[in-house]
Amino acid sequence: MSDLKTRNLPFFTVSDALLVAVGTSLLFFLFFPAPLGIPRHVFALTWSSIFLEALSFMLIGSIVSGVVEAFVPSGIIERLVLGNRFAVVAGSASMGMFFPVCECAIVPVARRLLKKGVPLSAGIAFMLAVPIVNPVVIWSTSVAYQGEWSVVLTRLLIGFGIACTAAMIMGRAFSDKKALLSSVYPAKKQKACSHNHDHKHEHNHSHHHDHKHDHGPGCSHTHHVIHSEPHKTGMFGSRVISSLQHARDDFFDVAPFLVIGTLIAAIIRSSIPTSVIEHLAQSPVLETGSMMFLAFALNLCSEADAFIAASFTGIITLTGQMAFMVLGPMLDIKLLLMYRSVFRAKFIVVLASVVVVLVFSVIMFIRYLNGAGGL
Amino acid sequence: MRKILVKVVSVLWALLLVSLLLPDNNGATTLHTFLKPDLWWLVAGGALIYVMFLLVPFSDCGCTHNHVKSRVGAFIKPLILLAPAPFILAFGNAEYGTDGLATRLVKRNIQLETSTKSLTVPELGDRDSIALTDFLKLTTEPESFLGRRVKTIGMLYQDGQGSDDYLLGFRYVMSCCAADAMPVGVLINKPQDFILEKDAWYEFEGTVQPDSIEGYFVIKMDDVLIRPIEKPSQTWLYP
Repeated sequence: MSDLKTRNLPFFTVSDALLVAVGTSLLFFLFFPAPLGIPRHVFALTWSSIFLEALSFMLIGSIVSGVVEAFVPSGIIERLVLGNRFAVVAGSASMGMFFPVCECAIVPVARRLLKKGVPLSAGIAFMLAVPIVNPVVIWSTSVAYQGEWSVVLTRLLIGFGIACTAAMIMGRAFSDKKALLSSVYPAKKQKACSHNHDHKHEHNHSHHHDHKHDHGPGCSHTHHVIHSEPHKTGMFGSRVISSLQHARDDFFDVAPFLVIGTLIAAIIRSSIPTSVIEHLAQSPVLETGSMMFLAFALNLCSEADAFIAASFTGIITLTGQMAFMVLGPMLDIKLLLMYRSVFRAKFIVVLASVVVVLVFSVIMFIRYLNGAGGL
Repeated sequence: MRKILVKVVSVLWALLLVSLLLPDNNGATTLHTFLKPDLWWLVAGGALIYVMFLLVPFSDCGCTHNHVKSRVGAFIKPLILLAPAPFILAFGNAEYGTDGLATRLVKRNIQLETSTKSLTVPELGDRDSIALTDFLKLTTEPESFLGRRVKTIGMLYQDGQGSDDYLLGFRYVMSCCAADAMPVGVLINKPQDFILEKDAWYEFEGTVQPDSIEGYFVIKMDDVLIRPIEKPSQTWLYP
């Protein structure tokens, strides 16, 4: 481990224990024909397919994240996010029209943008809305619902509205410092203290490290500082290399969460029958709640979930299907795990609760407006 | 050491992703087991990005990067990325088969009262020259086939709690990846003395007729001939 300064690091952490546990359980799945009552090939096919698709999207997201870091100066982002707060949030939520990717690719990009100093509310709006408000999802929803544009527009508007509302709420309720992990907390804010920092190092990419500085007599402690502005000058080639280094760091930072998230998702997907929903569709509250739970548990890609939602036609009302299509891209098991690479646990719990309450309330309100039959 | 691990993981994944794209003797790729073939570019792009990760040197600042929280974690985090690889390699030719029905089957029915009024059963067509019918079309647009003799391929399933007289002919429809696959099917009037082999592929030929079960409209195939076939190179259906 000569490439790391590991003297100050603990030997073993809770997350290491979790990863070891995951590895052990995988052996269980690999060698037993039907662990937990799930046929091994059903689990393997489900997990492999979720993981393969998400992995590729996440790699692309990491590249975008690296490009943002190496080629987009914080000054430009600061200028873009100046002005009316809602306009900034709405603008961020609309970015998917130019960056059409699903939820797996969006986490590394949102992480990088927050690191670059994008306001929390704008980052949240971007992260929640882009997997819904983008041309690929519009197209796939339109195909799944056989050109029923009212369904497409409804999904788009509800998704956009909920993403903006949740972002505004979270932006008000949490400061960046309380929301973001220290490794993501923007560098400029960390540097905004009133004392002198003394650190010397030369390198050509952003990273996070420890250093010491004096606050005054008898006070000396270690701080975490992130340097993220070293790319304002430099040759194009060195920036490309730098962007790839950042992409690799981001990818290997977030990917373990993807492995665990997709693993849990596959176990649930392979064990909970979709037909359970048929029995829960008796009441509007149960139907909406169960479709939201299904979206959370199935972890489908936002670019394909409309096909599954449409398959419930004749069993579930359109409002129930809408609950499925709006919640899934914002919140599912793998996303919850991936959010852990950006946010603190408390923030994730509150964000998840806000999104769930908003989706449920909006769907029930639409249902009320349209009578018991749904849309 | 961590740098080496990151490189090893990148090499292995790049190789694995490329191997998924290589066609076998039948022209099918292993990728087809997991993802819709249209998404080949996604996997190729992933492999390319891994290669780029390999080519880019590590920064030599020697600093403690933020993704390393412990000494053991520095090794485990890259290693855990390899965990899905054995499953992809071992199950590269798998299919859900009958076992997948338990968690994926949804009775997607149309109310009999609204559906059968407009349906008329035409005369039987020519029985001699029957081309293979698109299974997806048969299940999603049954009106076009009512009264006609059709031939198609799929797997068969007999519900232990259902009638002994019927089988379910089914296949899976994949929208994007295998995780979102849903079965579609048609009821088949079981020929006498037919012995069902689990997860085998069959060609079945019969006459499509409307019917109702518990008040719901269903299509079934009567006067059925069934013969076992080899597993087709393309097992999924795509919408």
